[in-house]
Amino acid sequence: MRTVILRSSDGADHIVSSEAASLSRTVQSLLEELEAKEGEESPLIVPLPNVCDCTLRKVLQYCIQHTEPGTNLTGRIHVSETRRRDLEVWDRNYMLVSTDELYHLVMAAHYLNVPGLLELCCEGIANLIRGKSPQHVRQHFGLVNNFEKAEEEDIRRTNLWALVDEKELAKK
Amino acid sequence: MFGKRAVDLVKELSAAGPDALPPYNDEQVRLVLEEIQEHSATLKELSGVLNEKKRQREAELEERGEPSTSVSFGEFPEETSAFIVHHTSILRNKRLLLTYMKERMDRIKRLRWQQRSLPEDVKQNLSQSEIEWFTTYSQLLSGYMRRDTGIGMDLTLDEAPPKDPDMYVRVLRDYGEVAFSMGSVVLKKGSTHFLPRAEADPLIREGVLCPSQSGPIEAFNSSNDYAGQRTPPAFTHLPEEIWLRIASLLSTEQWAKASGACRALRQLQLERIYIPARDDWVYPIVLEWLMRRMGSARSVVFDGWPVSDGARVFYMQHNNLALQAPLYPAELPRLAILTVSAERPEGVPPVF
Repeated sequence: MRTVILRSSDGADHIVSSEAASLSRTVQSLLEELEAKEGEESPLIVPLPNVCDCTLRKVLQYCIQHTEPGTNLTGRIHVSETRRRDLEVWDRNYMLVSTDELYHLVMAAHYLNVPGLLELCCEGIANLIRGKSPQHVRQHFGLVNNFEKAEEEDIRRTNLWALVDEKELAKK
Repeated sequence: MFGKRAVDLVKELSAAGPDALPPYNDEQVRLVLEEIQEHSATLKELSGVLNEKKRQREAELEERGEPSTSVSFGEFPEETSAFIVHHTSILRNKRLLLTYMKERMDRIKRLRWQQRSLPEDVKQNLSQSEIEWFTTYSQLLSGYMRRDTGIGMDLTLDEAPPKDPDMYVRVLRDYGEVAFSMGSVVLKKGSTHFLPRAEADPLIREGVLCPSQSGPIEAFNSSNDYAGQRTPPAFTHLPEEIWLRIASLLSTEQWAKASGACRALRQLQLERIYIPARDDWVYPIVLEWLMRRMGSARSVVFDGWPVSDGARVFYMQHNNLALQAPLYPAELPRLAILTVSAERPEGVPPVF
């Protein structure tokens, strides 16, 4: 199994198997290009200028976990049921990160194009949004309220139907 | 009117505003007390009259040779009702007076918590016993908070629990490196940090830091130094396709709620809208919401929602959109067609 070196924006090198690295489609295509250019023997160094060291480490945790023996690149169909369940639990724990880490992670997953991780992050963010009022969402995600006063009132009015249900639930 | 004076007393307090302390109305209180005395005197008189009448009636009955035990006060309705009215008036006056005292006491107590001492102008408005009460309460509280005999903590500092254990602070002067629980931070003048409230508080009191409303968005960098330099999550920069993906995981209802957060979220066009309508009155608002969301959609497909012709006409007039009969598009370019799945509860007729 070949190893590759992934270099983060701050110059830290991470040595991982090409299998794990290939979970990222961006890296995969870069690797193919490099291999064609440099030949089989020379070390493969992939610079990733958009990902910082600690985020890359976190992403690689995911990649390694998801390419451990038992899984193979041909797809998850062959993955055994227990292994799948283990991974689910692992994913859930993996998502226990602070909001800004989550932001970095989703950006990295987007840039590196790791479909599974991107899906996982989006789910994580969706879970954070669920059940929150606009005010809360703003606070939680550092969004700025850039509506005009009248506009906001209008939105509140037309969104009433979404807010109504909550009140009914509270009554119950 | 009985009890009018006492009501005025309470009204006076409530008219002064929730935190104000108008002068203690000694005169009025005295008048109310006098009124109570009068009531009490009348009561005594009435009870004398009643007892007298009862005795007479009993004597009459005895003369006729009937058992005397059956005589009750109910046989003299005039005197009895007067008796009850006076008694109730006393109780009402008492309650109003107590309300007046209690409310004043609460306000004085609040003063102790908020201002710690009695301002001179307020002190003039208090009665002698109120001042005494304040002094005693103050002593009790200070004794409880004292370091050697009490809990050693100033409870009046933070009356309400802080909303967030962390807070943004701005550094007012260079202070060097400080170790916090989540790492050490170099406090440089002008910089903003996100620190645990409890640990930042002493420095705020020292004048090194001051609370800041919000963190610096522009300071958000991809530095791996999370500790100490915790910057707010800059989700504003999240690409649209990721937001869409997130939105697709939420129900339309949840998304509608969250999209009120900022303009960028508001402008996202969902591919799929699913609105389970619960009550008939929801329809008009839902339709209006849809209209606003579908400005850029060229057509709308209603799926599974029996929409009457009236609604179609209404919709077309307002939005220049063609409403098609239920249709199941498998793959369509985004923003071209919106699929609206709305469920109507059973037994509710269409609004239009």
